[in-house]
Amino acid sequence: MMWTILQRELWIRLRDVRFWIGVLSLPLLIGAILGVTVLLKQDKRALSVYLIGAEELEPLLASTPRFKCIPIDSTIATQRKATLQEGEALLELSERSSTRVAFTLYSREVLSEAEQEQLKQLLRQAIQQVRVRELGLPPDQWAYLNPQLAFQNYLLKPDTETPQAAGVLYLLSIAVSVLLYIVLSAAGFQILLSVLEEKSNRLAEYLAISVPVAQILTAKLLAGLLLALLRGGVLGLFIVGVGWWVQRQVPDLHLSVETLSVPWGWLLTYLLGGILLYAFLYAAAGASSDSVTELSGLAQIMQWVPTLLFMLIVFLWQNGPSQGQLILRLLSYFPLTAPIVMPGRLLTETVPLWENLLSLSLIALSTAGARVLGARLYERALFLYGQKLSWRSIWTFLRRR
Amino acid sequence: MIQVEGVSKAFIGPTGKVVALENVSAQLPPGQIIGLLGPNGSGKTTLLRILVGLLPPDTGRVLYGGQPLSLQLRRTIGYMPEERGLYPNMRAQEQLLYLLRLKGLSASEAKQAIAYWAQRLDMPWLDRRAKTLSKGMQQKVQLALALAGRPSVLLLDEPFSGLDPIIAAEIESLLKELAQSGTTIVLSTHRLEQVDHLCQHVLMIYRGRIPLQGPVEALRQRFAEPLYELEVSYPIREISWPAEAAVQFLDTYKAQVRLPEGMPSRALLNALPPEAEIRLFRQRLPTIKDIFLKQVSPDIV
Repeated sequence: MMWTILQRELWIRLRDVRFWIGVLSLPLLIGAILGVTVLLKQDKRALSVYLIGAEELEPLLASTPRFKCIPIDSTIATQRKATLQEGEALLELSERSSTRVAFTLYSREVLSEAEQEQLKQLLRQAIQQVRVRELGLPPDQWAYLNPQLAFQNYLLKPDTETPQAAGVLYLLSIAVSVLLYIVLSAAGFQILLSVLEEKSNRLAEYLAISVPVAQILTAKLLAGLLLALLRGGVLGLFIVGVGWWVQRQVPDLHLSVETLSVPWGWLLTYLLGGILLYAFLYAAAGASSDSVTELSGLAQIMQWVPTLLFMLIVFLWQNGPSQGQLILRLLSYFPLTAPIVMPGRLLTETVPLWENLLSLSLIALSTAGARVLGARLYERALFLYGQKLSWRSIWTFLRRR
Repeated sequence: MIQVEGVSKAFIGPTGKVVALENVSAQLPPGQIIGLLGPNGSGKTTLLRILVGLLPPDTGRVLYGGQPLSLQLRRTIGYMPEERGLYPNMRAQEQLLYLLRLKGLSASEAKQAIAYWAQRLDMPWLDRRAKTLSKGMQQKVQLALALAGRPSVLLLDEPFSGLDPIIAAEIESLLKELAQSGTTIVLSTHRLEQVDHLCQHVLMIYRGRIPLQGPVEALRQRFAEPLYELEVSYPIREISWPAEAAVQFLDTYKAQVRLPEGMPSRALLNALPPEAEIRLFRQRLPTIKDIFLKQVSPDIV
């Protein structure tokens, strides 16, 4: 019977176009905004390439909008290498024979394969022209010389994280918090609406005749959980996709799943704990209300408190970790906000094990409490029609075993 | 036989504790239509919910054929709650299938039952979403839900509210047919005039108690007054009626006569002249509505 209810709960949402609009609209919107932003920033500055040991190539090197070759004295090469900035590169001729020429490029940004090829082509043409001169061949013969060109690109890693990378990390934290907030609230609100629909239509009575109320609630929670995971999966895939795309567009961010060391196990645990906690609370909120326009005090609290806390979280994240770190840390223990804040912290900092355990223990305790109280309220308030429950009634229901 | 033994139920309302039922006991005979009567807020719906097992009584118990109500037994009860509804975005057929599956019917049994009741209740529009159906159509779907699976007990809370007379008459005849085939039907209703011709047994509930219950005919006899209807072939105003009789002339040949307590009805016949031919002479029994109002109205007033 529980499976039948679960099936209906899933099927009725999955076939509803509004559900998919809800799931896909946010990624599409964010994707569109991000896409336009990144595309507008496609015009890269010219890279100043300092030539060491190949000064004779300089006049022969054609300038392109991307590369501007500047010969420098080899005596200042080491100093220049140490002070190399963004938008600068050092090209060192490390080997030169009649058949082989080797270059090493030092830069703070990664050149894409196409860019490397473009630079190689410029170098090859210049070398060929120098060789033609050296051999005294007619100028039109240079194309027949094809020296082997070795090219190595050394990335000079920044001593500290680049501001862009740090910015992306905080953006990622906010994105994860937003994602979790959306997933938890959507799962909870879906359960609230489902409970309320059956309560206001008296369908709860039909169901409760044939199936124990606890099983109805469990089936709803499972459906909510699965739909939340689906929603989270879609949003998660979107974030991973955006991350991958940004990485390709802006390779010098040095971000990858490995470097972020995403703690998937912890994230999933917080997600599941959060969904269950919210689901029980929203189920109780739905049962204690009379209709969407007659929400009980509990339902209103479940609407406003997480929203306000979420706004606070985003504000604190935006200000960086130093400002409001204590508040963020406290919010990462508080059960209603811990599933939203702690995953963000886990992505940006090393969270001590005890903090994780404390946070999860509090979520587990709250979920257990919410399960008992939520189920009690659901069972007792489900058949009380025509009134939203007062705090006094809710308290009376919760107190009685 | 459904036995209700000393059932009490109280709720916590905004103004404190509200006693919905107080030590209610009743015996509901099988294969009959039992009318559950009472003013609004008297406890009818609470009693029906306890009968179907949706609410546990605070004290007392309900027995079906001597057995306490189990989940298995609950699934054999057809139930139609008050102010019911359907899932607005589901097709009527889908929700019938869904809810019947929950009652324990297999998919094929449920489909067969739906096909049968779709024909029986004339519902060719079952593939439409519930939100596009009229109230009467939705009531039919809910009735089909209560009836499918051939329940041995039907509990119907205000099944006729909001129905047009044609559908109401259809449902009335259907209920009579089911009762004849052995189904016990308990229906709560405000249409008291309906009870006389539809129900065989009544349970009057008032302020959480049952002041009156029993077979309809027995109650009518019990509350009968010495009030007689008379139709003769002689002008009725020219008859010398006993001085103690209160005569109400209905037309030239008809009257309604109330005799004082203890006076035999034969006194009326003795007053008739020999040439008066008696066309009708009967005691006017009270309707269930009369009895109900008599029982309840003094308090209401």
